[in-house]
Amino acid sequence: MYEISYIDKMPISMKIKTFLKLKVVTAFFIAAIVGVSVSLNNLYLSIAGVLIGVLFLVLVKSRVNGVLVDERVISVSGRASYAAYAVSTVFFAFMGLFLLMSSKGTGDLAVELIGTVLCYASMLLMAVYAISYHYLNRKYGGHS
Amino acid sequence: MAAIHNRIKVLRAEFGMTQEDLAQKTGVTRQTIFAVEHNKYVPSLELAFKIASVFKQPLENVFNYT
Repeated sequence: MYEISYIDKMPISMKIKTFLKLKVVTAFFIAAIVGVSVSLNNLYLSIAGVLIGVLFLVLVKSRVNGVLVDERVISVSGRASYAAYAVSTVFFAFMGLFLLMSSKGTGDLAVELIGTVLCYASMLLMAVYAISYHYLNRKYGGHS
Repeated sequence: MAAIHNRIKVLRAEFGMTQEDLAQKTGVTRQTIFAVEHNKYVPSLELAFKIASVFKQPLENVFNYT
């Protein structure tokens, strides 16, 4: 409640630069809270810190006077996402296969487990990509 | 090799407009206007029409494909 009433007293509009500064400060705040919660071994503190930080950013974002995301940013994000997907999927798949094969020789269960998790992570990434591609393709008129 | 060129910088100067002004009028970031001006980013048809309408020019007077 305190955060919301504080936000309500803020000026209606805010420059993008101010928002970006606040974003950095919030990131530091969340990192500090998570660090403290890890040292105190308190899970709830870290969850509360992250939630407060995210809520603060969402509320502040609505007060920004200016354009944060436009077509160029979306285009760049799309290409960056595809590059990240392509690299991480191939890396996870090969690393997982390598760990699985190497664990067969040594019989190390931990290595086998990590290899299995990486293979499934790779599969999950491909599934999410395929589903989102199918959805967006239909949304933007790609269906016959 | 054919490419899309534009006269945004010249038109901005004629209208006494900054990149920030044009960005506000067209609803994009200043960085996007900079990228379009320097031919680093080809705008969508919608944005191209918006830019042309700000300068009250037909599209082909602002952008050309050569």
